[in-house]
This record gives sequence, C-alpha cells and structure tokens, in this order.
Amino acid sequence: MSTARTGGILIASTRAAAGVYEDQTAPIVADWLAGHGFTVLEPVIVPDGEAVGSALKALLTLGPSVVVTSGGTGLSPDDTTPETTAPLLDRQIPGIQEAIRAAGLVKTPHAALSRGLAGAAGSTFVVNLPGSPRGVRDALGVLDPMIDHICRQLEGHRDH
Amino acid sequence: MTTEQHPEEGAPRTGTPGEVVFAGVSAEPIDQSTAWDAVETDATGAVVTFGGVVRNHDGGRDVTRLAYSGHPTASARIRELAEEVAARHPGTRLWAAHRVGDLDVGDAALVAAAASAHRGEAFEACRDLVEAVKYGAPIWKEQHFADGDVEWVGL
Repeated sequence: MSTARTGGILIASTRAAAGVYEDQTAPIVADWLAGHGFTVLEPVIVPDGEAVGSALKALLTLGPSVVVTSGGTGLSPDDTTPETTAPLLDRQIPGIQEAIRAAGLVKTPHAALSRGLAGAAGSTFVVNLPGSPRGVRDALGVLDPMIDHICRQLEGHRDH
Repeated sequence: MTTEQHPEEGAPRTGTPGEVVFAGVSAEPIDQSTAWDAVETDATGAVVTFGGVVRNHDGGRDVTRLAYSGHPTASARIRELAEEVAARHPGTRLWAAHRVGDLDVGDAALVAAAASAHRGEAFEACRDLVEAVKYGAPIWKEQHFADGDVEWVGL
C-alpha cells in the first residue's frame, strides 16, 4: 500500500537552522517524495553535528518508510551526518551510496568526498545525501528506479 | 422464549476505552493543577499526576538549562500515543503535555495525569502514559552544561 507510506526530511545545515539563508534542498526532496506517492512529513532543519542524530532518532519514532537527510556528509569538522546516522542503522546498504557517488562523479570529482550512508533502521530506509541542491537532484535520480522496491523489501515483501 | 441480548447491561463499564482529555506539546509552561482539574470529575475517585522536571545534572555533569524541539507532527503523535494508552486502560481519563522551547532547572518538561474510579487503574494508566510519551514522542533536546558544553539528545 504505497498510499500509507510517509517520508521524512532532515536538513543538516548550521546556516539554514540559524535562519541565515533559506534551505533549498528540502523542497526538492519533498517534491520527489510526493512524486513517488509518499505523504511528506514537514522537514526538520537542524545545525550540523550531533543535533542531526537526535533529530533523526526523533523522526524515526514516527515510523516513516523513508528518511532523506541532506548535508553534513563532507569533510569539514562539523560534517558528522554519517557518524550520527550509523548507530541508528540496523543494516547498511553500501551499494546505494556507491551508485550515488558513481552518478555524481560523472559531473564532478568532488562527489568522491561525500561520505553519506544508506541503510535500514527497522523498516525505515535512511539515506544521507549531500547538501548541495544539484547533488541532491543527482542522488534522487539514482534512487528513482529503486525506491519503491526498497520500501517493499523493507516492508517484508519477498519479491525480487 | 427470550434471548438475552445484552448480558453485560448494567455491569461496570470495564470495556469502555479511556478518554484522552488533552495530549500534545506546549510552548507555554505546564503544571499539574491544570492536568488535575482537566481529568477529575464527580465519577473519578483517584487522580494520579506526574511531573518530569529539568534536573541540574545529567551523566555526572552540571546542567544549567535546556531546549526541547519537536517535530511539527509531535502534538498529533502524542495524541495517538495517548489514545493507545486510553485503549489499554478502560474507564480512565488522561492528560499529557510535553514542553517545547527553552526550560530552566526546575521547570516541568512533561506533565501527565490519569483519573479513574479507583486508584489502581489511575496509577497504571499514568505510568503507561508517561512512558509512552517519553519514548514515542518525536522530540529532542539541546542540553547546556555548566562548563559551556552543549549536547543534543534524542529522547
């Protein structure tokens, strides 16, 4: 039942959380989720760092099918989204991040610096995307053909 | 010959789900007397209230203040959690509020109340309500320590 699925959005951005500038990626992710039939939960915007982990944990209590994070995947000292995500994942899905990085590398070598994770927290699919709108669009393009299948698998359907 | 259609008619209404008088987040200070007044009726013989209060230490460190943030759906989720508790505790009247925003040491962060005809069910329902909201609400906190350090905690 794809109609019952919900999708959460978590933006890790110290500047956006402080209101210094308007986040541009949440609307992109929201449109994408809605386009795939998800009921989109209102985005959460938090500063980079450990706030990401606590907000993600809170978001997971809502039992969404998908949580897309954006930001905090780079090499700056406060880019710790992967580190705060990892303990919340029951199983990682490295192939998805490899595919996202591979798609990004076609356009910019900097895609290799994105350390985002993908995995399952219970039956929720969690994926860390970069902070740039372009990076988010490219990554969502990679997820396009497989997001429904991922959700079905995590819901316990045994199709292939 | 008559058929007994309603064998339990007139018996205590043990199967009636509890009632959620209020459940949600509050940006304003919350207190137990509000909760008490909301759940108490002429039919309730027991009222149990709970206050979760900001304490001055956590993990051996001195806490000066903290701030709670809630997902925009937090109120709706707390309501759902309270309805589930109500279903488990027939005949009770429930009230629960979780603070969001800046709190000082001594401020109430979570207030809950349960009223019932008899004390046993009120105690059990209040405990169940507190645990359900504490662990199920999409709320997180930013904790400020006396040494200037800040820690984010997912509840």
